[in-house]
Amino acid sequence: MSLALRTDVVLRKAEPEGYVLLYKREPSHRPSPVFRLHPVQAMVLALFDGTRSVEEIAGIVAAVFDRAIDEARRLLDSISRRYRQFLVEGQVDGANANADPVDLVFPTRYDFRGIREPAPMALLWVVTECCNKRCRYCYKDARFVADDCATDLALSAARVAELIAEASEIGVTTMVLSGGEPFLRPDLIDLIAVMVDHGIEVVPITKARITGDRMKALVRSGAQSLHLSLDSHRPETVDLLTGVPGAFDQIVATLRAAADHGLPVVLRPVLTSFNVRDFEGLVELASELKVAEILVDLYGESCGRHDPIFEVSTEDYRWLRRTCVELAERFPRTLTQFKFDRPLQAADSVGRGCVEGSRGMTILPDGKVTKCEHWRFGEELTYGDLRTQSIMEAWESDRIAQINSAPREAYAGTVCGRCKKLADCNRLRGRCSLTAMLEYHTPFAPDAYCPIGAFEKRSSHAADA
Amino acid sequence: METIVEKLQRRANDANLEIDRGEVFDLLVAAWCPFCCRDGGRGGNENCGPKQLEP
Repeated sequence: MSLALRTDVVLRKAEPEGYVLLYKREPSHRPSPVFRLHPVQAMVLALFDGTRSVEEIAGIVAAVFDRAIDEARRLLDSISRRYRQFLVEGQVDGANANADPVDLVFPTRYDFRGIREPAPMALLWVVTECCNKRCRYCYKDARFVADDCATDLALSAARVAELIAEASEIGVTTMVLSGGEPFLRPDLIDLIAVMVDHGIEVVPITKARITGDRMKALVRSGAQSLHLSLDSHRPETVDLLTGVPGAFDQIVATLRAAADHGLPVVLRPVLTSFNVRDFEGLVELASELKVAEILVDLYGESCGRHDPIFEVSTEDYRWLRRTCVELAERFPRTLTQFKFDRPLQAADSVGRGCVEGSRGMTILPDGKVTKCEHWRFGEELTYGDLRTQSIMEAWESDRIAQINSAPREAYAGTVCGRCKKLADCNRLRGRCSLTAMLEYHTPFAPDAYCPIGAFEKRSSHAADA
Repeated sequence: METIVEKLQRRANDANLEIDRGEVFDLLVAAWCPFCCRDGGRGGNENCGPKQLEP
């Protein structure tokens, strides 16, 4: 396979500053983002000229930097995924004259660690807050609807299609469709087809029954996968956890229909104290139904609804990890991953944080965009409204700039106001505005991940009092 | 005639550009999930996601 940098994309050296600018020459939407790339990233993108295969380029990168071929492949994979909207498969008419890989290699001292992107790389669309399940472990109090019809859809299909076109233009790679139950939106499959047409990877997370013509339509939409939430191989456990009799049959019907049509399924169980020991049976069922990947969520800390009764004990957790090793040998074609297996990357150096509003944008059913969907008590974290604004207008709004990186004065009276790490928390770590709001009633205060622990000290004092 | 690998190697050496320093390589390959704390839609886990708090 070969990839080519689109001919309307410019890579321009900003050598004194130490980065390469990437932008569309004549963007169809304005404002339009300008990315600052590391020279190596730019070099790799420039090597994508449609004549070399990806494997050939991996060989070049490995040789130039004296790296193992696997590492070079990882690098290419990561860069081509991140900038997929600026690449096309196969050859293009005429080479991109703005992209000479050799010319783009130059020294740099620029600090690339900042998490704020010039445009969101992913959108989380909370399609609807309505749900036809009553999952007992769910962090949110979704609005139960029995008639399979969402009642809170404020964005028309035409408006969503406009936003998808803009998303593609500004480099959005992924749209996560969440809820509530996203498939309660009747035109969702049509909209998934629009997303796929625009080169966006779609991650629909569902417990819906999707069979027959509906499954055929989903497959025709080009959806790359379906993330299906099934928590156990035992019908009674699933029905208990979801609070809906027959839920197991509904979800398994979807699973079987997806398998029949060759639609890859990522199984997304939430393991709680009630179902953790069902995991072996669940993997057996998954294997039988040709599930290639299982992505496990352990019930854990949540900022929303939470009940300790669902927490997995240490003993069960140890059993689970042991069992997973055995299952990996028994079912080598079913990949099981825990979300916490993923590397923490920058978190190791600057602490845990949040990239919402820095790399990702959350869109609510009413069209508003928010730094955190969990904040339900006011509009303090709302920074745009896609009924009337473009994605980029919201992304560049003064409000999100203020939430993300307010000056020191905004933090006066809190420990952040005199903290040496203030700029790191704003620029490198990303604050959890939600926990700051909950504890201090303002986003301009320490959050639960404060590297110096100010939040915990304050919280424990409050508890002592 | 210099090959593309030789040209790039020369430039990378002149620029002292490496990708084997952990920080740079990690930055380049970082596949951030913007919604890692709840992309299952249900809230945090051991390494990420807000702590449980009630308003």
